[in-house]
Amino acid sequence: MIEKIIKIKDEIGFHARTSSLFAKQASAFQSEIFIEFNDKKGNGKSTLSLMTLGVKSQDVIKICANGTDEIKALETLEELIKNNFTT
Amino acid sequence: MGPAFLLNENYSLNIIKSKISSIESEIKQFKQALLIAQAKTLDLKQKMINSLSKEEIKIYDAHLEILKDPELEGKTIDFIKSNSCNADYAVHEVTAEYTEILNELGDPYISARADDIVMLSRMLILILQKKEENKITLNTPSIIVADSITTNQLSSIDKNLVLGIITSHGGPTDHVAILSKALGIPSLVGLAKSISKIKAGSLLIIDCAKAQLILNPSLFYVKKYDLLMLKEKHESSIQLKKSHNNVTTKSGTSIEINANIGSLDDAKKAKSFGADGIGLFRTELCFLNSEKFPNENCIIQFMNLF
Repeated sequence: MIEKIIKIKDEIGFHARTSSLFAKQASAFQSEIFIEFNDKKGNGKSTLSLMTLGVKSQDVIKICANGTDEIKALETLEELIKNNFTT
Repeated sequence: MGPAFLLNENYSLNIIKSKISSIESEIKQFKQALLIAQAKTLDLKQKMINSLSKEEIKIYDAHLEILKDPELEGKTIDFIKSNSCNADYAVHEVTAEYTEILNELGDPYISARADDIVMLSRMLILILQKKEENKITLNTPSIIVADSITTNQLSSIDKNLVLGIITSHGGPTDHVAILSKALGIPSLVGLAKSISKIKAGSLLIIDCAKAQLILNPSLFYVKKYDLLMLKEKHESSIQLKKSHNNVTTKSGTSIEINANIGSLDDAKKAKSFGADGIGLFRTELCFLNSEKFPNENCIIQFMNLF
Protein backbone atom coordinates (compact mmCIF):
# COMPACT_ATOMS: atom_id res chain seq x y z
CA MET A 1 0.00 0.00 0.00
CA ILE A 2 1.23 3.49 -0.71
CA GLU A 3 0.00 6.83 0.51
CA LYS A 4 0.49 10.49 -0.16
CA ILE A 5 -0.47 13.63 1.71
CA ILE A 6 -1.77 16.37 -0.51
CA LYS A 7 -3.34 19.80 -0.13
CA ILE A 8 -6.47 20.72 -2.06
CA LYS A 9 -5.88 23.97 -3.92
CA ASP A 10 -9.11 24.01 -5.88
CA GLU A 11 -11.54 26.71 -4.79
CA ILE A 12 -14.22 24.24 -3.99
CA GLY A 13 -12.83 21.03 -2.50
CA PHE A 14 -14.70 17.71 -2.69
CA HIS A 15 -18.12 18.91 -3.61
CA ALA A 16 -20.58 17.31 -6.02
CA ARG A 17 -18.70 17.82 -9.29
CA THR A 18 -15.16 17.27 -8.05
CA SER A 19 -16.10 14.19 -5.98
CA SER A 20 -17.66 12.74 -9.09
CA LEU A 21 -14.56 13.42 -11.22
CA PHE A 22 -12.25 11.91 -8.62
CA ALA A 23 -14.43 8.81 -8.12
CA LYS A 24 -14.66 8.22 -11.88
CA GLN A 25 -10.90 8.43 -12.25
CA ALA A 26 -10.27 6.23 -9.20
CA SER A 27 -12.73 3.60 -10.46
CA ALA A 28 -10.54 3.06 -13.54
CA PHE A 29 -7.91 1.42 -11.32
CA GLN A 30 -7.91 -2.08 -9.91
CA SER A 31 -6.43 -0.95 -6.56
CA GLU A 32 -8.50 0.05 -3.55
CA ILE A 33 -8.39 3.81 -3.08
CA PHE A 34 -9.10 5.53 0.23
CA ILE A 35 -9.09 9.14 1.31
CA GLU A 36 -8.40 10.02 4.93
CA PHE A 37 -9.45 13.37 6.30
CA ASN A 38 -10.13 14.53 9.85
CA ASP A 39 -10.21 11.02 11.29
CA LYS A 40 -12.70 10.02 8.60
CA LYS A 41 -12.00 7.48 5.89
CA GLY A 42 -13.80 7.51 2.53
CA ASN A 43 -13.88 5.14 -0.43
CA GLY A 44 -12.16 7.00 -3.27
CA LYS A 45 -14.31 5.24 -5.85
CA SER A 46 -17.57 6.43 -4.30
CA THR A 47 -18.85 9.93 -5.05
CA LEU A 48 -21.15 9.81 -2.04
CA SER A 49 -18.36 8.73 0.27
CA LEU A 50 -16.12 11.55 -0.91
CA MET A 51 -18.82 14.20 -0.55
CA THR A 52 -19.54 13.19 3.03
CA LEU A 53 -15.92 13.84 4.02
CA GLY A 54 -16.60 17.56 3.78
CA VAL A 55 -13.20 18.39 2.28
CA LYS A 56 -12.94 22.07 1.45
CA SER A 57 -10.42 24.20 -0.38
CA GLN A 58 -7.00 24.39 1.33
CA ASP A 59 -7.72 21.21 3.34
CA VAL A 60 -5.03 18.54 3.58
CA ILE A 61 -5.96 14.94 2.80
CA LYS A 62 -4.19 11.59 2.64
CA ILE A 63 -4.70 9.40 -0.44
CA CYS A 64 -4.04 5.67 0.01
CA ALA A 65 -3.84 3.16 -2.82
CA ASN A 66 -3.53 -0.58 -2.36
CA GLY A 67 -3.27 -3.02 -5.26
CA THR A 68 -1.36 -4.05 -8.35
CA ASP A 69 -1.64 -0.63 -10.02
CA GLU A 70 -1.28 1.44 -6.85
CA ILE A 71 1.66 3.50 -8.11
CA LYS A 72 -0.07 4.54 -11.32
CA ALA A 73 -3.33 5.15 -9.43
CA LEU A 74 -1.72 7.46 -6.88
CA GLU A 75 0.18 9.33 -9.57
CA THR A 76 -2.93 9.91 -11.68
CA LEU A 77 -5.10 10.99 -8.77
CA GLU A 78 -2.46 13.30 -7.39
CA GLU A 79 -2.13 14.87 -10.86
CA LEU A 80 -5.91 15.33 -11.01
CA ILE A 81 -5.97 17.22 -7.71
CA LYS A 82 -2.89 19.28 -8.60
CA ASN A 83 -4.59 20.29 -11.85
CA ASN A 84 -7.60 21.47 -9.87
CA PHE A 85 -9.74 18.60 -11.09
CA THR A 86 -9.48 19.50 -14.76
CA THR A 87 -8.74 16.43 -16.84
CA MET B 1 -52.03 32.92 -13.61
CA GLY B 2 -54.27 29.98 -12.91
CA PRO B 3 -56.01 27.72 -10.40
CA ALA B 4 -54.03 25.98 -7.69
CA PHE B 5 -53.57 22.23 -7.94
CA LEU B 6 -52.51 20.97 -4.52
CA LEU B 7 -50.06 18.13 -4.63
CA ASN B 8 -50.71 16.34 -1.40
CA GLU B 9 -47.82 14.75 0.34
CA ASN B 10 -47.13 11.72 -1.80
CA TYR B 11 -48.63 8.93 0.20
CA SER B 12 -46.23 8.13 2.98
CA LEU B 13 -44.26 4.98 2.71
CA ASN B 14 -44.79 2.24 5.21
CA ILE B 15 -41.29 1.30 6.24
CA ILE B 16 -41.11 -1.26 8.97
CA LYS B 17 -38.13 -3.26 10.02
CA SER B 18 -39.01 -6.91 9.78
CA LYS B 19 -37.25 -10.23 10.04
CA ILE B 20 -36.63 -12.03 6.80
CA SER B 21 -36.36 -15.65 5.83
CA SER B 22 -33.39 -15.34 3.49
CA ILE B 23 -30.68 -12.69 3.58
CA GLU B 24 -29.45 -13.82 0.14
CA SER B 25 -32.87 -13.38 -1.39
CA GLU B 26 -33.22 -9.91 0.18
CA ILE B 27 -29.84 -8.84 -1.19
CA LYS B 28 -30.77 -10.20 -4.61
CA GLN B 29 -34.01 -8.17 -4.59
CA PHE B 30 -32.11 -5.05 -3.59
CA LYS B 31 -29.62 -5.47 -6.44
CA GLN B 32 -32.48 -5.98 -8.87
CA ALA B 33 -34.20 -2.85 -7.55
CA LEU B 34 -31.03 -0.87 -8.22
CA LEU B 35 -31.02 -2.07 -11.83
CA ILE B 36 -34.71 -1.26 -12.30
CA ALA B 37 -34.20 2.23 -10.85
CA GLN B 38 -31.26 2.79 -13.19
CA ALA B 39 -33.36 1.72 -16.18
CA LYS B 40 -36.22 4.03 -15.13
CA THR B 41 -33.81 6.94 -14.79
CA LEU B 42 -32.36 6.29 -18.23
CA ASP B 43 -35.91 6.24 -19.63
CA LEU B 44 -36.65 9.62 -18.07
CA LYS B 45 -33.39 11.00 -19.41
CA GLN B 46 -34.35 9.89 -22.92
CA LYS B 47 -37.78 11.45 -22.52
CA MET B 48 -36.33 14.80 -21.53
CA ILE B 49 -33.32 14.84 -23.85
CA ASN B 50 -34.92 17.14 -26.41
CA SER B 51 -36.30 19.58 -23.85
CA LEU B 52 -33.08 20.15 -21.93
CA SER B 53 -29.60 21.44 -22.66
CA LYS B 54 -26.50 19.28 -22.33
CA GLU B 55 -25.78 20.78 -18.93
CA GLU B 56 -29.30 20.30 -17.65
CA ILE B 57 -29.56 16.67 -18.78
CA LYS B 58 -26.62 15.95 -16.46
CA ILE B 59 -29.17 15.92 -13.63
CA TYR B 60 -30.09 12.41 -14.75
CA ASP B 61 -26.44 11.42 -14.95
CA ALA B 62 -26.07 12.53 -11.35
CA HIS B 63 -29.02 10.29 -10.41
CA LEU B 64 -27.48 7.35 -12.23
CA GLU B 65 -24.19 7.96 -10.46
CA ILE B 66 -25.91 7.76 -7.08
CA LEU B 67 -27.73 4.56 -8.06
CA LYS B 68 -24.43 3.02 -9.14
CA ASP B 69 -22.41 4.24 -6.17
CA PRO B 70 -20.38 1.35 -4.67
CA GLU B 71 -20.70 2.60 -1.09
CA LEU B 72 -24.47 3.02 -1.28
CA GLU B 73 -24.77 -0.55 -2.52
CA GLY B 74 -22.12 -1.90 -0.13
CA LYS B 75 -23.50 -0.20 2.97
CA THR B 76 -27.06 -1.29 2.24
CA ILE B 77 -25.98 -4.91 1.75
CA ASP B 78 -23.96 -4.78 4.99
CA PHE B 79 -26.99 -3.37 6.79
CA ILE B 80 -29.23 -6.18 5.50
CA LYS B 81 -26.65 -8.77 6.61
CA SER B 82 -25.92 -7.38 10.06
CA ASN B 83 -29.55 -6.64 10.91
CA SER B 84 -31.03 -9.60 9.10
CA CYS B 85 -33.74 -7.25 7.89
CA ASN B 86 -35.79 -6.32 4.84
CA ALA B 87 -34.16 -4.42 1.97
CA ASP B 88 -36.56 -1.46 1.96
CA TYR B 89 -35.83 -0.73 5.62
CA ALA B 90 -32.10 -0.99 4.94
CA VAL B 91 -32.35 1.43 1.98
CA HIS B 92 -34.30 3.87 4.13
CA GLU B 93 -31.82 3.82 6.98
CA VAL B 94 -28.66 4.00 4.86
CA THR B 95 -29.91 6.81 2.61
CA ALA B 96 -31.23 8.73 5.63
CA GLU B 97 -27.75 8.68 7.12
CA TYR B 98 -26.18 9.99 3.90
CA THR B 99 -28.83 12.70 3.59
CA GLU B 100 -28.23 13.87 7.14
CA ILE B 101 -24.46 14.09 6.73
CA LEU B 102 -24.67 15.86 3.37
CA ASN B 103 -27.21 18.40 4.58
CA GLU B 104 -25.04 19.21 7.59
CA LEU B 105 -22.24 20.34 5.28
CA GLY B 106 -24.24 23.48 4.50
CA ASP B 107 -23.32 23.60 0.84
CA PRO B 108 -26.30 24.23 -1.49
CA TYR B 109 -24.90 22.11 -4.31
CA ILE B 110 -24.29 19.18 -1.98
CA SER B 111 -27.73 19.67 -0.43
CA ALA B 112 -29.20 19.36 -3.92
CA ARG B 113 -27.55 15.94 -4.11
CA ALA B 114 -29.02 15.10 -0.73
CA ASP B 115 -32.46 15.85 -2.19
CA ASP B 116 -31.66 13.55 -5.10
CA ILE B 117 -30.81 10.78 -2.63
CA VAL B 118 -34.15 11.26 -0.85
CA MET B 119 -36.02 10.95 -4.14
CA LEU B 120 -34.02 7.95 -5.32
CA SER B 121 -34.41 6.27 -1.94
CA ARG B 122 -38.16 6.59 -2.30
CA MET B 123 -37.94 5.24 -5.84
CA LEU B 124 -35.99 2.18 -4.66
CA ILE B 125 -38.35 1.52 -1.76
CA LEU B 126 -41.41 1.72 -4.02
CA ILE B 127 -39.77 -0.77 -6.40
CA LEU B 128 -38.95 -3.11 -3.50
CA GLN B 129 -42.47 -2.82 -2.10
CA LYS B 130 -43.84 -3.34 -5.59
CA LYS B 131 -45.82 -0.09 -5.50
CA GLU B 132 -46.27 2.63 -8.12
CA GLU B 133 -45.70 6.29 -7.37
CA ASN B 134 -48.80 8.44 -7.59
CA LYS B 135 -48.65 10.14 -10.94
CA ILE B 136 -49.71 13.77 -11.09
CA THR B 137 -52.62 14.03 -13.51
CA LEU B 138 -53.82 17.48 -14.43
CA ASN B 139 -57.23 17.90 -16.07
CA THR B 140 -56.95 21.59 -16.69
CA PRO B 141 -54.07 24.10 -16.92
CA SER B 142 -53.03 24.66 -13.30
CA ILE B 143 -50.37 25.96 -10.99
CA ILE B 144 -48.94 23.10 -8.96
CA VAL B 145 -48.60 23.78 -5.23
CA ALA B 146 -46.49 21.33 -3.25
CA ASP B 147 -44.09 20.98 -0.33
CA SER B 148 -41.67 19.60 -2.84
CA ILE B 149 -41.77 18.01 -6.25
CA THR B 150 -39.26 15.59 -7.67
CA THR B 151 -37.55 15.86 -11.03
CA ASN B 152 -39.06 12.50 -11.92
CA GLN B 153 -42.58 13.78 -11.22
CA LEU B 154 -41.89 16.93 -13.21
CA SER B 155 -40.56 14.88 -16.10
CA SER B 156 -43.78 12.86 -16.30
CA ILE B 157 -46.46 15.59 -16.16
CA ASP B 158 -48.13 16.95 -19.27
CA LYS B 159 -46.11 20.17 -19.68
CA ASN B 160 -48.92 21.86 -21.61
CA LEU B 161 -51.10 21.87 -18.51
CA VAL B 162 -48.53 23.24 -16.06
CA LEU B 163 -48.87 27.01 -15.78
CA GLY B 164 -46.45 27.29 -12.87
CA ILE B 165 -44.99 25.59 -9.81
CA ILE B 166 -44.85 26.69 -6.19
CA THR B 167 -43.05 24.80 -3.46
CA SER B 168 -42.56 25.39 0.24
CA HIS B 169 -39.14 23.71 0.26
CA GLY B 170 -36.23 24.05 -2.04
CA GLY B 171 -33.93 26.68 -3.45
CA PRO B 172 -32.83 28.09 -6.81
CA THR B 173 -29.96 25.64 -7.27
CA ASP B 174 -32.13 22.55 -6.81
CA HIS B 175 -32.49 20.24 -9.75
CA VAL B 176 -36.24 20.92 -9.85
CA ALA B 177 -35.63 24.67 -10.17
CA ILE B 178 -33.12 24.05 -12.96
CA LEU B 179 -35.57 21.79 -14.76
CA SER B 180 -38.48 24.24 -14.42
CA LYS B 181 -36.35 27.04 -15.81
CA ALA B 182 -35.25 24.89 -18.75
CA LEU B 183 -38.87 23.98 -19.50
CA GLY B 184 -39.93 27.63 -19.26
CA ILE B 185 -42.30 26.97 -16.33
CA PRO B 186 -42.61 29.99 -13.97
CA SER B 187 -41.71 28.77 -10.47
CA LEU B 188 -41.32 30.07 -6.97
CA VAL B 189 -39.50 27.88 -4.46
CA GLY B 190 -38.80 27.94 -0.76
CA LEU B 191 -42.02 29.74 0.20
CA ALA B 192 -42.17 27.84 3.51
CA LYS B 193 -45.35 27.70 5.56
CA SER B 194 -47.13 30.43 3.61
CA ILE B 195 -48.32 27.90 1.05
CA SER B 196 -50.48 26.14 3.62
CA LYS B 197 -52.98 28.99 3.20
CA ILE B 198 -53.64 28.04 -0.40
CA LYS B 199 -56.85 26.09 -1.06
CA ALA B 200 -57.36 23.82 -4.04
CA GLY B 201 -58.72 25.66 -7.05
CA SER B 202 -58.02 29.15 -5.72
CA LEU B 203 -56.63 31.62 -8.24
CA LEU B 204 -52.92 32.36 -8.06
CA ILE B 205 -50.61 34.73 -9.89
CA ILE B 206 -46.88 34.03 -10.08
CA ASP B 207 -44.77 37.09 -10.88
CA CYS B 208 -41.22 35.80 -11.30
CA ALA B 209 -39.80 39.23 -12.11
CA LYS B 210 -40.83 40.41 -8.65
CA ALA B 211 -40.52 36.95 -7.01
CA GLN B 212 -44.09 37.43 -5.83
CA LEU B 213 -47.08 35.19 -5.40
CA ILE B 214 -50.53 36.75 -5.33
CA LEU B 215 -53.19 34.64 -3.67
CA ASN B 216 -56.85 35.16 -4.61
CA PRO B 217 -56.09 38.34 -6.57
CA SER B 218 -58.69 41.07 -6.81
CA LEU B 219 -60.18 41.95 -10.18
CA PHE B 220 -57.70 44.82 -10.40
CA TYR B 221 -54.72 42.45 -10.28
CA VAL B 222 -56.34 39.90 -12.56
CA LYS B 223 -56.85 42.58 -15.22
CA LYS B 224 -53.39 44.04 -14.61
CA TYR B 225 -51.67 40.71 -15.14
CA ASP B 226 -53.93 39.72 -18.01
CA LEU B 227 -52.71 42.84 -19.77
CA LEU B 228 -49.08 42.24 -18.77
CA MET B 229 -49.16 38.70 -20.13
CA LEU B 230 -50.83 39.84 -23.35
CA LYS B 231 -48.21 42.57 -23.75
CA GLU B 232 -45.39 40.08 -23.15
CA LYS B 233 -46.85 37.64 -25.66
CA HIS B 234 -47.28 40.42 -28.23
CA GLU B 235 -43.71 41.67 -27.73
CA SER B 236 -42.44 38.10 -27.98
CA SER B 237 -44.15 37.56 -31.32
CA ILE B 238 -42.84 40.88 -32.68
CA GLN B 239 -39.32 39.90 -31.60
CA LEU B 240 -39.79 36.53 -33.24
CA LYS B 241 -40.93 38.13 -36.52
CA LYS B 242 -38.07 40.64 -36.41
CA SER B 243 -35.59 37.85 -35.80
CA HIS B 244 -36.18 36.64 -39.34
CA ASN B 245 -35.16 39.99 -40.80
CA ASN B 246 -31.68 40.75 -42.01
CA VAL B 247 -29.43 42.01 -39.29
CA THR B 248 -27.57 45.18 -40.21
CA THR B 249 -25.50 47.78 -38.42
CA LYS B 250 -26.67 51.39 -38.38
CA SER B 251 -24.32 52.07 -41.27
CA GLY B 252 -25.99 49.31 -43.29
CA THR B 253 -23.44 46.50 -43.07
CA SER B 254 -25.14 43.12 -43.12
CA ILE B 255 -24.26 40.64 -40.37
CA GLU B 256 -24.94 36.94 -40.58
CA ILE B 257 -26.29 35.36 -37.40
CA ASN B 258 -25.56 31.68 -37.14
CA ALA B 259 -26.47 29.15 -34.47
CA ASN B 260 -24.40 26.56 -32.64
CA ILE B 261 -26.26 23.26 -32.69
CA GLY B 262 -25.87 19.68 -31.59
CA SER B 263 -29.06 18.03 -32.73
CA LEU B 264 -31.84 18.16 -35.30
CA ASP B 265 -34.10 19.77 -32.69
CA ASP B 266 -31.52 22.49 -32.06
CA ALA B 267 -31.38 23.15 -35.81
CA LYS B 268 -35.18 23.40 -36.07
CA LYS B 269 -35.34 25.71 -33.06
CA ALA B 270 -32.55 27.89 -34.45
CA LYS B 271 -34.35 28.21 -37.78
CA SER B 272 -37.61 29.13 -36.08
CA PHE B 273 -35.82 31.87 -34.16
CA GLY B 274 -34.42 33.34 -37.34
CA ALA B 275 -30.88 32.00 -37.52
CA ASP B 276 -29.30 32.58 -40.92
CA GLY B 277 -27.27 29.39 -40.80
CA ILE B 278 -25.17 27.08 -38.68
CA GLY B 279 -22.02 28.44 -37.03
CA LEU B 280 -20.79 25.40 -35.13
CA PHE B 281 -22.21 21.92 -35.54
CA ARG B 282 -21.30 19.59 -32.68
CA THR B 283 -21.32 16.49 -34.84
CA GLU B 284 -20.02 14.30 -32.02
CA LEU B 285 -23.44 14.64 -30.39
CA CYS B 286 -24.94 12.77 -33.35
CA PHE B 287 -22.75 9.88 -32.28
CA LEU B 288 -23.38 10.19 -28.54
CA ASN B 289 -27.15 10.44 -28.83
CA SER B 290 -27.55 7.58 -31.22
CA GLU B 291 -27.50 3.82 -30.81
CA LYS B 292 -25.85 3.36 -34.19
CA PHE B 293 -23.15 5.26 -36.02
CA PRO B 294 -24.89 8.11 -37.86
CA ASN B 295 -24.22 8.27 -41.57
CA GLU B 296 -23.96 11.17 -43.97
CA ASN B 297 -27.75 11.38 -44.22
CA CYS B 298 -27.81 12.65 -40.64
CA ILE B 299 -25.64 15.60 -41.65
CA ILE B 300 -27.52 16.23 -44.89
CA GLN B 301 -30.83 16.38 -42.97
CA PHE B 302 -29.49 19.29 -40.97
CA MET B 303 -28.06 21.14 -43.94
CA ASN B 304 -31.36 20.86 -45.81
CA LEU B 305 -33.11 22.82 -43.11
CA PHE B 306 -31.16 25.87 -44.12
